[in-house]
Amino acid sequence: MRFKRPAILVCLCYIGGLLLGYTVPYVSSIIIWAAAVIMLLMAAAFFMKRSNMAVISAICILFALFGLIKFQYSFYVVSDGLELLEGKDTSLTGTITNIFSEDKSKAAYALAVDNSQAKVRLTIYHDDQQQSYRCGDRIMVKGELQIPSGQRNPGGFDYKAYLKGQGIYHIMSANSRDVSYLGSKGVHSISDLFMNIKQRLIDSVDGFMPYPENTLLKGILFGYTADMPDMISEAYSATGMAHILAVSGMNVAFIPLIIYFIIKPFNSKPRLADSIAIAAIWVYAVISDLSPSVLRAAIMLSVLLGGRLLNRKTDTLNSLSIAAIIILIINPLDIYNIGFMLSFAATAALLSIYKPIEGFLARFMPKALAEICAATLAPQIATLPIIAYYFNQIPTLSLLANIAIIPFNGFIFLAGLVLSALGALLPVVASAIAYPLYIILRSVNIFTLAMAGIPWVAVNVPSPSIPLIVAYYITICAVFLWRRMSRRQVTSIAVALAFIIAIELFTVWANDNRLKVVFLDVGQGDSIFISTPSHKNILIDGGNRVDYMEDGFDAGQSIVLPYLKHNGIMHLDLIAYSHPDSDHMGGLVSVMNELRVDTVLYSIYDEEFLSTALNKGARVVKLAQGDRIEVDDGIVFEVLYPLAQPSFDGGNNDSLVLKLKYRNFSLLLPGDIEADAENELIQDADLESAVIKVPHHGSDTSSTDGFIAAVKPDVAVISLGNNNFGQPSDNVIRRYYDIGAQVYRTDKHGAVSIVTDGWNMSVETVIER
Amino acid sequence: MNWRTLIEDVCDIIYPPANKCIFCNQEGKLIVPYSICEHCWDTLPFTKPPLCDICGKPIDSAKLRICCDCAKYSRSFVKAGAVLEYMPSVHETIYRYKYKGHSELAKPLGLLMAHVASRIAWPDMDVLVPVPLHYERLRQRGYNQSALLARYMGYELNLPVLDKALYRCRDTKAQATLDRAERRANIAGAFAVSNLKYTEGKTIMLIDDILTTGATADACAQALLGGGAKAVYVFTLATGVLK
Repeated sequence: MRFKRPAILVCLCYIGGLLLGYTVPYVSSIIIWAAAVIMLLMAAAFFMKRSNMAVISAICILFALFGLIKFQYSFYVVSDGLELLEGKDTSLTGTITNIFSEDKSKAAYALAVDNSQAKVRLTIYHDDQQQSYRCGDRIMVKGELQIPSGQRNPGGFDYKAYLKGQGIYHIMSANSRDVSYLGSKGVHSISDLFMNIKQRLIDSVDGFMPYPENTLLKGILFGYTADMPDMISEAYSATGMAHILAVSGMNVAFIPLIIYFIIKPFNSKPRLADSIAIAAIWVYAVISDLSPSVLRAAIMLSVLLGGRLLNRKTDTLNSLSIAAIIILIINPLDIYNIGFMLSFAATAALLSIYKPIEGFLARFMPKALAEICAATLAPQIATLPIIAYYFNQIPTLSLLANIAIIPFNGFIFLAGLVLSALGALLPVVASAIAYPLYIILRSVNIFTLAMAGIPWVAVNVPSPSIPLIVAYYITICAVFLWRRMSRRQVTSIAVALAFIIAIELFTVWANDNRLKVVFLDVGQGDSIFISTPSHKNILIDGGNRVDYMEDGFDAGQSIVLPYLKHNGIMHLDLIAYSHPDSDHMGGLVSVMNELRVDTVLYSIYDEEFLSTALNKGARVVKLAQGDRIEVDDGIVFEVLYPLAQPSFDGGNNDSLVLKLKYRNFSLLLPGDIEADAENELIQDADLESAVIKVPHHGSDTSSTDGFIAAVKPDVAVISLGNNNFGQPSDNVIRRYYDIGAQVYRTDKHGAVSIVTDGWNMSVETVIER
Repeated sequence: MNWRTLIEDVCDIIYPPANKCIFCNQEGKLIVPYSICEHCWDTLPFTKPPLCDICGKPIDSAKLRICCDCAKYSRSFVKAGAVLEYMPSVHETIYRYKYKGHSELAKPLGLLMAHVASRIAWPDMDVLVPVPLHYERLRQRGYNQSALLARYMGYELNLPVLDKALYRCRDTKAQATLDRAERRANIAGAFAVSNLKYTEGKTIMLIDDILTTGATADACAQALLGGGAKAVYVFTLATGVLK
């Protein structure tokens, strides 16, 4: 049996192994190796009998096992050797090797720590003086070495895994006064040299191109977007143009063309130009940080040019698989790198479905137009589920934007390369190029920003489920292979699709008629999302928002909104804030600004928030004890507190206390009330509830014995993060344990979800303990 | 399995050979390692007797023994042989190989030549020498089609291949554009031996893609004999008749 493209098979097996390694818990590699040896022996036995199929399956199994081990080894075993310093105030000396982001208030760098393999992501907050560093600068920094946080909310961002994928295991934050500059490292090694070249090229772009067009050009040339203003990068993703900011592989293909152009007059040896072109491609790849898309293009082009040296014909889909294998062997964690997925999906589409699409379109339009449309559509079809899954927004006008901008891409890239290369050597030439280039970049920016302003330029979508994504790709393959498939293949694909859709429908049906309560992990603060059986969406509190501190954290923007969008929720029927403290109400501001909100419930008046709500067209309703709100069939919020005439001064003790009732199930949301309010409540309210959100983040001043005895919860959820208030109090936790409640804490368990049909309930946490 | 076949196997994974017949370009069951489908294999114009005793071109009658060209001109080579007659189907493949950059055809074609060459009753050869290409042409094309054929023949026949034994000492017009007399004049003295150590006392098989009038082969053979070669035989992929 001969395979047309053997690398595809090997690649798929290896990826299968990686995904298996990602899904299954850590397996000791000894077990796997033992399995591998047994497999090999079996394969050898078959091989003796000369069964080709046995050899092929042995290779497949071996690669799958290799993938499994490789993933788990890189994910669980590899470390940077700084564990002993975790959580401690330490002082690190090292060299800045990369700049992740830079703006007025802070900058993030990769710091290669001296005398170790460790790379630390260092965030420096500028206080008084703004000191920015460059690649190659040596610094000493004092701060607390921290482990980045993993995934804490359903569908939330796994920062820890993301950084791990970049070889970073620890983070540190410091003030600029805690950083001392030790001078520049100078060039001591090849990597220093490349870093140096890169910095010079970047400087030269900055020198000849005004802000913000310089950031656009640096993105197109080197995928360097550290100092790009958010407004611009958001505009490019909304219009579906973000790919040009990440060095498209297409641009890498210009490099050999440039080399041929330069070298042609001097070259006498055949294939010399090919060899030089391969070298040049890799220099470029290293300068643009070996990002997956560049690495992919570099490998594929090297295979192509190497094929010419070896007198071999290249099969592009086969070399795409080779690129995937090499990249994933170097760094298995790239398997969930979004750039990797997008680059490979887009290229695979260009190599497979581009032709048929172009052929189809050419029936209705001129060939040139059909080509450019197909070149935009094919990658889009292939990357659609990935974009929907990770970004929850799909650009609707990207066809238009690409048709308008892509024709300039080649010129921008070539002129930009010349500009950055000559900036230091021949400033006259560089400035001559700079002006026309500036005009084009400026027009591209204006055009994109204008397009981004069009309503509906991007539609919000929920993250599709994995089976749905699989079904999507099966359908795409089936559509394009329709003519070549046998009846049996068509039937089996139809059966597979029906099976997946059945599973989807079953999950939807199983979740119907259920009330879902999610205590989001927003750090120190509260945010509870409730969705009712008929899909009414309710948000109580929105987490913290710190405006005037250096790190400007907004739980609404960074946690609550992503969670809601992940689930496709663009409209909230009800929001409520328990009281106007920033750790409850803060995050609601961004939520209200971005989503459609029908009604805002409150007990304590907050001028600013409520006037914004009214301006956005929401209804605002003041609540007091005795009010009842029926949110859905048989689902009622009872307002237990405060009294119509609040007993206290508008602080914690006047928090809105809501009790949600659905059949047998009840949930008590007492905000931040303390002992005084609890005592009043015990007097005149029916507190008994299956689930309680522990008042005031588990503070000792709340959750009195009498109160807990009155509530008799089965489940107690404490919503909090790291804090200096001594929350949660051990006493409080013990009190809940003593009456037999299960206690969940968002700081330990991440988000806590409770699903109930009104009779039974189940509790799920993001982090298993 | 030696190291070369191992490398070839690895290359086959990185550069999987197309599953298409090198002559009719159709997908289907191919004869390994020549990548030729069974239909083409059966219908290809393999050279069949009666052939000219010297230049190996097909002749009308076995009685003649040699063709009129060979009767007219003396040849510097002992004998010439070819795999195929230069028919349109063969022309198309050779054209793709030579002028369209399809250097990957070298392997199947070279192996096919080796297969046929090993069955000819010629004395044992010492070395294979490809007809050189002028470097200007080499630069344009990127490869010497004869040298690549010789390389794969060498692998298969276990003979050394001396790409550098001959070189073009002057650029010539493309033979294909000239008539018979012009060809001889054009090519005569165009080749020289680079180093006597390559040629002295050797029985040499000269490799080229096409033999038409034999002028090129003759010029090369002359140079090789001048370099002290014992005897020169010529083997080409195709043999054609000048129209």
